[in-house]
Amino acid sequence: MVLAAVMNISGYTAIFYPAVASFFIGILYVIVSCKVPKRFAVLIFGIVPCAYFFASGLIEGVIGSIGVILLSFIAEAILGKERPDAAKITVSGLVYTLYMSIIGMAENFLFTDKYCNDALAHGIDGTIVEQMRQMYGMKWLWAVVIAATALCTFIGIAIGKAIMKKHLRKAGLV
Amino acid sequence: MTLDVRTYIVMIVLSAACSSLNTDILVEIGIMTAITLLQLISAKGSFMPKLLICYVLMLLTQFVLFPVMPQTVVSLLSLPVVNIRSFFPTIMCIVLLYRNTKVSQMTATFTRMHVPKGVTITLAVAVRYIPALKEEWLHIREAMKMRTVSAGVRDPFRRMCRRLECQLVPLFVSAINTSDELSAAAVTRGIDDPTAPTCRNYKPLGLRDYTVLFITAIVTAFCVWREYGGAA
Amino acid sequence: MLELQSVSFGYGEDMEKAPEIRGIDMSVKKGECILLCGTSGCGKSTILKTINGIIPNLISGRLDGSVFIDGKSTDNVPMYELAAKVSSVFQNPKTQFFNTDAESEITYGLENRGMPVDVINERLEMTVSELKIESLRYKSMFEMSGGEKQRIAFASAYISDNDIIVLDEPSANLDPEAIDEIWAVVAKMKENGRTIIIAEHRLYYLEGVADAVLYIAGGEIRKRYDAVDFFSMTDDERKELGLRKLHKNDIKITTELPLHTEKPILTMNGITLAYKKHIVQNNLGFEAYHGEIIGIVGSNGAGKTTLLRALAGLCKPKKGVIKYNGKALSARQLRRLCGLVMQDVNYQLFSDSVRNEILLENSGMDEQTLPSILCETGLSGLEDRHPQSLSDGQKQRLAIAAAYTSGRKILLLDEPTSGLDYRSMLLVGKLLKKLSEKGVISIVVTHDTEFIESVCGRIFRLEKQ
Repeated sequence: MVLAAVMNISGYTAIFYPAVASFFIGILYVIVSCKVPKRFAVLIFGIVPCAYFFASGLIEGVIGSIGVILLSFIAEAILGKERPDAAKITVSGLVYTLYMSIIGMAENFLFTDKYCNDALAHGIDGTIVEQMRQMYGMKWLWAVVIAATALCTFIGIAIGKAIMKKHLRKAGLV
Repeated sequence: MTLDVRTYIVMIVLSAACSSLNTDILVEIGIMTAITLLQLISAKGSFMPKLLICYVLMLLTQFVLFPVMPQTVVSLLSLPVVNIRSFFPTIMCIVLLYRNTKVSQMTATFTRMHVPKGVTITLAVAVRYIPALKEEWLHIREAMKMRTVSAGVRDPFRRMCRRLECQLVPLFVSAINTSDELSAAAVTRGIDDPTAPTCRNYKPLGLRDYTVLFITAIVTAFCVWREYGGAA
Repeated sequence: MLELQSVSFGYGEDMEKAPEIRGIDMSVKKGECILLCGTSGCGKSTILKTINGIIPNLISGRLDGSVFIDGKSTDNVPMYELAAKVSSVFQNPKTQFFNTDAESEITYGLENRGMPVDVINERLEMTVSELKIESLRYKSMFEMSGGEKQRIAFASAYISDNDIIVLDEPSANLDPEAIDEIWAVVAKMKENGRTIIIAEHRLYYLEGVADAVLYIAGGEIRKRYDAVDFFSMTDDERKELGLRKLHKNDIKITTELPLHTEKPILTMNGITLAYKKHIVQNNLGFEAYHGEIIGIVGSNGAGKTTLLRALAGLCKPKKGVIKYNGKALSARQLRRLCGLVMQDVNYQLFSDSVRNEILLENSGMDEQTLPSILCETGLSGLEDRHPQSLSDGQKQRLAIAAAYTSGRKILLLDEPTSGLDYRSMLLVGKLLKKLSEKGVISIVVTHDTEFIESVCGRIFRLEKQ
């Protein structure tokens, strides 16, 4: 929430919200996937964004939330039932955070006009909406966002693993 | 007055839908008033004056201050103020759910709804852990204040890494210990018993639930109509 | 009723590693109360875990031998069936409740079992009145003190008709008043004919409740005592066994200020302390001299921890100043002058090894000093271990060592010994005395009368205002 507020300060930073958030999700992802070997852990992780998408619009929202569930299921399946190894966690985490870069940004890039008009109608300042219209007009930027998110997830997972190895495993906690 | 978990969940989802659909500030104020009234007649602690003041401040900022503020300030503040404001109804509904639902009630209702046990247990523990997390975070912050953890590290990037590490490590350690201890406590109290649990607090949906659900549905339908059909 | 036949258990799959417990044989008759005692890590908790089924259901490892309840082996009994026979109370009051209100918490186990609601309600009434917890009944779990939470945990064990109740150091995090309260509950359980197995460090409150005492060392039962023989042991004998005191007694330490010719180093004058806007102490005066070890005692809510936090610079006193060598200090300066050992020491260990923990604030320390510090704190040979893998007593001493080596002149300790066994407590005491010779002032908030008597030069009593 706090993070979302900070990242929303201007139209330019909002676009990198998925990347920054996925960094922290990446760290958490390692701990959750190692420590909670029970099934459904990732699914529960996915419930909140799923509900968010579901609520955020009618048809787009429903498609979005189905997408999140689908991604969570795939991520869950990659982890498998047994205690996952390092590679599996990374791949699964990368799949999982796709929801932010692909689904979360889909409306912004695919329906830029509608998105911007909605923002305007909600009372967001005109200059910012123009910024956004320009920015989301550049479709190649979407690829950049997806790549940046994947990279940040990767770094997050790497840090998570480092903490795992340096501390938690050494202390015999996992 | 306390409503059923299911009613609150529907309210949360629909209020979020309304927030994103509705662009008329008067409708939003109407929704907020209705939720505030509901909070006032709900269990103690549901009504949070600070949150309401926050909302009113944001409202004032947007409609009174923005027109007179310099453009740069407006473009800086516009996104966060508007976005957070329009999600306030949902935040208020979440507060309602949190303050009015007992964990045992939630578990029982979910079990009735045939939600898999694994999901229910993990959710119950997670809900239970949130307040503890805040307390732990404060303890760690204090412990860090007492020691200059980044002493001798010049490079600002490495300083940041060190601080992050010092904050995360005790948090993870305590989270892991807590989850171990909680699951030990859970299994010794028969949480994995396959027989359907009973719940002293379980009640089927009552008249008040249906009333609130009905009102919520009408408001949502109104918002949908405004956005997609009719006059627009 | 309950029987263990040559039970052995070792954590992990590694056959080379010495098992945690071996060849445990014990049989408990219905209605008996058995106390397991011994030093930390002797295996008493592990024995309890094999009884309540946490081993092997939650913790896997190499388990041999069998546990029999009512003549039936529990080998392949699912956890939930065992949960309907054995109730457990654990040591950490914070991590054994799931509900936010007391009533739901007490009845949680019965609800999981699918017991009809009216039966549950009936039992709830009975439990509440028999355990005299009417005042807690409608309270939120988060507003309760540790002792109150623990009483609710006892109540949820009591409400089930389970004959066997397993208590794993239920007093570890509690103050003496709360211990008196749980004593009453244990006594009531016994009166009801429940079979109680309890592992404890603090023994004095169990005098008159326990029927037999098993002394555990190195994972084996070394001796079985009758309660009468055990509690009439001389002080020297029980110290030899590394056990905490067996009888309740009052502190005989002076509150008088020592006669000093030199000036006090630390002084506080006219201090007013508040906890969450609520004033706990008014116009408090306090002084400490070179190398003193002072115990701060007093009832709950008298502001002991608040005083400690004010000294540590973590909260500002409402009124008054804290002076060191006659100079008033800001909160920030206080934080650099004082080292704080928190009640839960886990929050303040940040590094990946004991060595790095000590070097955290002074990376420039020379090679020679470290071994001598490790030696003084009794941590030699552990320098590569992860701090979180140490025992509680070792963690305490590491936190003290880290504070001292970074040049802190005043050590503040909050309940350092509540969960420690006799030897670990003595080691902490010894370390404080050594530092005292070097002029370090130690201020200890504690309920532990045994610890106070062994180290403190004087006590400072805070009364509730």
